Amino acid sequence: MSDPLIGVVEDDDAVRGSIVLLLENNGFRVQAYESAELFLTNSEHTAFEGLVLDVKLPGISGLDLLEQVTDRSVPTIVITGHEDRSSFAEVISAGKVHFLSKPFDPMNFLKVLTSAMSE
Amino acid sequence: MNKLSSLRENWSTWQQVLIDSALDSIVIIDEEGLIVDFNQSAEEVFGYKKSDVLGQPMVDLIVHPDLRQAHRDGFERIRKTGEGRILGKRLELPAVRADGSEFAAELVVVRVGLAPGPLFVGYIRDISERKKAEHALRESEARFRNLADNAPVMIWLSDDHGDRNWFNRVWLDFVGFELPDQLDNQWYEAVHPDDLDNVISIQREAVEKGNSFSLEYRIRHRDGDYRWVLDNGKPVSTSGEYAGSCVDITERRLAEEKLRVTQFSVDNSQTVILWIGSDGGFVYVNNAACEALGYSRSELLSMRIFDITSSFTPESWPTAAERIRNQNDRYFELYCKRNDGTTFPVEVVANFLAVHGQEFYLTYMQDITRRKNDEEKLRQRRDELAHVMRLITMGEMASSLAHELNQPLTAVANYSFVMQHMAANKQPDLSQMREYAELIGEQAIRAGKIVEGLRKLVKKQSPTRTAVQLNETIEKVLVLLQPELRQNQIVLENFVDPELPVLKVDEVQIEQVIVNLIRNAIDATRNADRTEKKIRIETSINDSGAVGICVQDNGCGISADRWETVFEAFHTSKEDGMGMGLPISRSIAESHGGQLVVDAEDGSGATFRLTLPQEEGKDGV
Repeated sequence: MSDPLIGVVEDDDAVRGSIVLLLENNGFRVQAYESAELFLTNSEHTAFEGLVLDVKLPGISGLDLLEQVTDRSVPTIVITGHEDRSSFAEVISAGKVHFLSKPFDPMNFLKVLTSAMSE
Repeated sequence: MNKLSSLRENWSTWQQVLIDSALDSIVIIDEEGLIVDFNQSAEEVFGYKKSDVLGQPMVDLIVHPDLRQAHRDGFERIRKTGEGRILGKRLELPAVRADGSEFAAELVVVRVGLAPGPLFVGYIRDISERKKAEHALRESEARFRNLADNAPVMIWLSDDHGDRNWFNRVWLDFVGFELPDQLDNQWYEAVHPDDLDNVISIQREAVEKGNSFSLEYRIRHRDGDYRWVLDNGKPVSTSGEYAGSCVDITERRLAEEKLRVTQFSVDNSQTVILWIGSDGGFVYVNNAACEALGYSRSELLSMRIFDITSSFTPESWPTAAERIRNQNDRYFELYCKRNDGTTFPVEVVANFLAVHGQEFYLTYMQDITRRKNDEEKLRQRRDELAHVMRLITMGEMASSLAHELNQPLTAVANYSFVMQHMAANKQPDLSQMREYAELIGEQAIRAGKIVEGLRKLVKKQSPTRTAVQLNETIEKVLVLLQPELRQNQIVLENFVDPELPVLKVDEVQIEQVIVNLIRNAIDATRNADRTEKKIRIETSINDSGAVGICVQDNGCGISADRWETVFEAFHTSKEDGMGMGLPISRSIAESHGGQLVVDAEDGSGATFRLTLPQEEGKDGV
């Protein structure tokens, strides 16, 4: 059985690169995208076992992207700045979505992702 | 024998001697008009020999041809009646010589009644020389009158008492008098009553001593106005007669009076007035100058410009003077030093004037201590306001900046986590670890830059001018604005001129202006419906060497009628805006001697142009 595939959408090169590295070093395969638009055009037939989305993205935001992703059962971590979480309430209740604020503890990030996937 | 009887005996001899030795010509004729005697003087005067004329009719020889008939008639009357109008009278008549030439003769004819008949004795004198002299005198006098009458000055003559008895035509025409009026000192009537006593006393005093005199007084012109004249009188003969001339000096007097008023106003002007000569020495100083500088007038007049300001030196003065001469540099500010060593700022206006080759640098100085203080206070307030606006801007940017700061921190946390795990391996990949460590370092620096930029903009510091390369300033500003640009999917085009010179500016304030302009551009593009949102930043050097920073967007634009109002305080198009960003930005530009202008079209974007001069003008002194 191959390593689980995680989709990452993050516009900041450094953050994206470090998340990719973190995931790959901990037994995941990763496909990373700079924007929601790129994710949508390039990942139509890809079956992700987990998603990591940045909220603040140029163009389509992480939350809007989440609404467009048809399979809500995919465990998702939404990483944010320090936005007011109350506005995300609707999204949280909608599926297996977890929120982490930047900067997050990498250990916690992996734990949340792993547990979400095993639910 | 006594003398008298001897004389009687020899009478006829004596008679001849007396006749012959007389200075006057003596011609004696008888009743018939025939010459009976013709003395030596007559021979010389008429050119006839006595022997040739004796017995000849006199009328045909020496009487002027024009008078011969009258002579014959008159002589006939005398012979008949014994009466003659001419007898015993002194006459002047023309006579003729033997050679036919004429001359003026003075003669007296007497009748001597003797037997057998009366004789007529004519005493004749050649007066042609005297006549000539008289004629010459008359001519010279006429010439003088003619000259004096036609001279362009007023001329008068007086007797030895100083009473004027002749005035030339110019004088008479000037006062509108005619000849009969001019005697008995009637001319005094034309003198201004206030000046008359002075005229009389000065003239009298001079005449008594035989001195020349010079008077200035008013005389009534024929048009009724009093005019000022300068009257110079001078004794012209030993007998004490005077001649004089008057010149109309009204224009000069008026000019002098005007000059006195001008002098008074210059002396007492509140403005410090200094006239500087070509060597930098003071030629004139007014009262305000003495007061402001704390010197007496005579002290200042022995000083030079270099003694009261360090802005000019004997070495630099020729160049400065040339700039004033050529009107290149007529307005400047400098500090003046008082006698007590204290200094004060002045604003100077300088003019150049050359009079008969002498150079004058006319300077007007205004103490601007108060203005400077006001400017300083105003500057402080503007700086405080600018700081407050920076805080407000930072508040608005805080959210996105915090997010921006979290990005490198997130990356750092991830890299270090990965590295820790790698370090736990028995054989860690050191080259990989070095790579991650470098990445961590980069992100730490990235975070540091954001913090630095933030801190600088928020920190309250007294404005300082430092040498700044504006391209670098723009780079720093973009670090802070990157998140907002990215968030709004705005394409930033950055065209910087790499040759941009270093300017001495307050970098924090200039950063504030650029932040303001770019954030405005972001707002403008956000509100416009564009497929591609663009902001273009361009730096350039213009013809005069000033640095231009251009921020152009393709946003909603600004209608022409609002181009100026956008720079007015509290005008804003934003719901949560204060309308202070652009006014503050413009005042910052102006405090740097530069300007901030907008060029925009409604609906198709706006271009804000910040221009900063390399060398500040007056404002920066």
